[in-house]
Amino acid sequence: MSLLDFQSLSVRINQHSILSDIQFHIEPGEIFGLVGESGSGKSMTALAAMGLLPSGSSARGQILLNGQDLLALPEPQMRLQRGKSLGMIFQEPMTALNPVQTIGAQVAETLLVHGVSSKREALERAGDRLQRVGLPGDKAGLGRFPHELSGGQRQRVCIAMAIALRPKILIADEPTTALDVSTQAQILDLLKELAEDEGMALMLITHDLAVVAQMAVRVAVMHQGAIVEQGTVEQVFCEQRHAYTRRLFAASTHKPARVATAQSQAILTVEGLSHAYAKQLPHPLGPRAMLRAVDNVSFALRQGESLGLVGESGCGKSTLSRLVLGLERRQSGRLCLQDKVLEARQPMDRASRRGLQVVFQDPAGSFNPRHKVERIVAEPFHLLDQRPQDWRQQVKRALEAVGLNADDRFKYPHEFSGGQRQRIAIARALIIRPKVIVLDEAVSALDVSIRATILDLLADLQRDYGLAYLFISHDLSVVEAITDRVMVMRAGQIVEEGQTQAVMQNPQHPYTQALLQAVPRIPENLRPRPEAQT
Amino acid sequence: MLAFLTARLLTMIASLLVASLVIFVMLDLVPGDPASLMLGLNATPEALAALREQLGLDGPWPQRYLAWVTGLVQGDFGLSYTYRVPVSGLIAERLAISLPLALYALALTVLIAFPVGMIAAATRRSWSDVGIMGLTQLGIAMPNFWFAIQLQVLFALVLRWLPAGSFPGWQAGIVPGLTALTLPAIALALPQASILARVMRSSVLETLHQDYMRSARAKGLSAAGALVKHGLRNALIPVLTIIGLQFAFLLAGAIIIENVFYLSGLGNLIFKAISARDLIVVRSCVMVLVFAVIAVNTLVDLAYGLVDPRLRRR
Repeated sequence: MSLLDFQSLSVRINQHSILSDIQFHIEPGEIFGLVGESGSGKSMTALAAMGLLPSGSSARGQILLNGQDLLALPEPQMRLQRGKSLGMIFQEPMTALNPVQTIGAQVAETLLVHGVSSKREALERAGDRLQRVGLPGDKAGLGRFPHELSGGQRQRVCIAMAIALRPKILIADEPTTALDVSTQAQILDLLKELAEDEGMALMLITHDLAVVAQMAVRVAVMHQGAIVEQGTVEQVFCEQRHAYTRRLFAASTHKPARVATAQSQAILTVEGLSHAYAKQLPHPLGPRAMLRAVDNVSFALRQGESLGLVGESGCGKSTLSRLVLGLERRQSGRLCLQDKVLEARQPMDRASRRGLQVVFQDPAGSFNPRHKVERIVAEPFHLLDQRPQDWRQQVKRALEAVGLNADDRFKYPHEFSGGQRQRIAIARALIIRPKVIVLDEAVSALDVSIRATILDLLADLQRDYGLAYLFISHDLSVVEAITDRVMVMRAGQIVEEGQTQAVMQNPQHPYTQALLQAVPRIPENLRPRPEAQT
Repeated sequence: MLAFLTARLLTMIASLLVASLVIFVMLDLVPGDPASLMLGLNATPEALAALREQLGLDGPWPQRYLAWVTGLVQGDFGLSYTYRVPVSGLIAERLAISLPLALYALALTVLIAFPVGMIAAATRRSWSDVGIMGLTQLGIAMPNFWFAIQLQVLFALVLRWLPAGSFPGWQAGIVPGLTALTLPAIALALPQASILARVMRSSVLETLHQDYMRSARAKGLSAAGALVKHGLRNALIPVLTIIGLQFAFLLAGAIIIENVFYLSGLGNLIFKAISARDLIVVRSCVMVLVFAVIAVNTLVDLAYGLVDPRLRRR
């Protein structure tokens, strides 16, 4: 008998079909991968098993845990299964913990809810579990608050919370998506080790095929609320029977066809740029410690060139981009755009701003939700003394250039999908004909297939308009696909710089080597066989 | 924590000094001479000058300000122009009613608002939520003096459970004192509880969608258990802010209710002092209120730190 068996599970929310006929099973101690893009129903499948579907939803079919149908259990009994037989961790470790409770209390709560009588015993066992996931489990360790921990440490706490009672199965919903590559590698190792040591099955939900390839034995591919293909990792990866699976694989390794447009002339020069933030004082009269977010950084971006900037969170990438954009006043260093030296003391003049535009990670957050797209895209015209006569025509052309419809200009941002919104953001950056576009994690929040199309678009625009890109990302595979040169940043400093191909294939700095090592890759033996690529 | 406390205390003293200066200067600019008011229209200039000197009304204002502030620190608030008794005694007598009344009303406010707000949030968009929201709307819209009169009619005249007004004094005992304050406290608390319940509801609703609530459910807590153990404390920050503001209002803003119930509270004293141009009483009362507000705000700040560990180091 399988440990967890989904039998023709269908879920509707307010009469909308969310899941249809989901059928798969997980064996004891097995690592099972569930892959798909956002909205494919992966998380809903997991929440159905946990009995935590949103209100207004109805589920049909069966989810059998050791032969017992979870969907038929009344809530008071289902509650006893959660945390005890089924543990679950979520994508956002930053918000998954209660900010006002110590981590010890939060781990101990799982034990207390399920019948451990004394608080002291629960805390003691919580300490053991924290130690098991690689965190100190002593009194001081138990007394820490979530805000005192890094993202990776918080995810460890969530894991300790979920495995406190040694459940038979752990459901991990995108457990490493919000984490850096090296932290991701550590957390994945921990999950694998826990599954092996404790004989615990793991249902790993992810959009990242490489992660599944590394971890899982069997895998199911989800698309639009249904499972399109399942089998062993080898079968699914090598044979790719379903058209959607093939599309997903193609998109995840997609490299846009790029034409080298880089010229020798530098358009943006940065020399000795430094910026430090004051750290929090230990006490009111304590010494003022400084955090050097950007430390003596110099580089030149050439016309039509695509320059990557990679590094983990907190390395200073974002501060650097803000300094270059003049959104933050730099403390020292020289900035030169199109042979014009930009003064640090003055706000950037409008002519320079015209040459320098930006696309952020979250387009939804950078649009005024009450403005129509036409007004949003036309915003950079404020940098001109007078809006051009044919500005409406220009907005239309900009929207068409990024693959949207000219009539889309009368809609509001919420009427678009994430990928379309990012196209609007690119249209806005493009309309003033800048020389340089700073792309700050511009494709990081997008699904692989949408990411592939946006990367194509960026490559096309670069070819057509001779744009220079400063492409900031934590994702090395994306940087590899879209950049000519790359800089690796660590603790405010550029530790390695060179041609992208050379750096990726032959990294010199130990940090770059470690970073590349941590990136999950699909092993050679799991690449599609020739006959599958038709 | 010690550094935090010291910093808060220093801020408090600085605020008090600034406030005292502003109060003094503003009331000093008000036209009208207390001495001529006290002696009437037929007073001789000599008598006026003598009284002014006696009251400390002559001399440059910085000197008078310093005298006033040193007096305040020592507990000497000066003599009332109209009552001819020490102001400190007057205020103490009125505070003995107003402070317990404010605390009583605040306690009722919290006792009503917390459960009501939480129930409304937990049963959002159901009939009980709609009903509660409708009632709180009514509670805010209803004039509190009208409500006070209805309370008097029902509980004092018809049911004869509680006295309709006046205060027997604390020397009559704690129970008769509290009994006398019950109806005014309810009348004061109801609109405040309506406001606070709405704040509580929206604040709890916000926490319901937080990821940590989902984590709590995944651990095996029931929906209600997660709400009480994880939602409530996170929802408290905006609620505490409102409670601080409400206390200040209840202390000084009770004048209408005081009149309806024949209570001689602080609001009453200020009102009479203003009409009689008894500036020294006005000044001292306002100063006492400022002190109370700042003290409460400091307490609220400290409570933030207790509720939310992330705020402790600031």
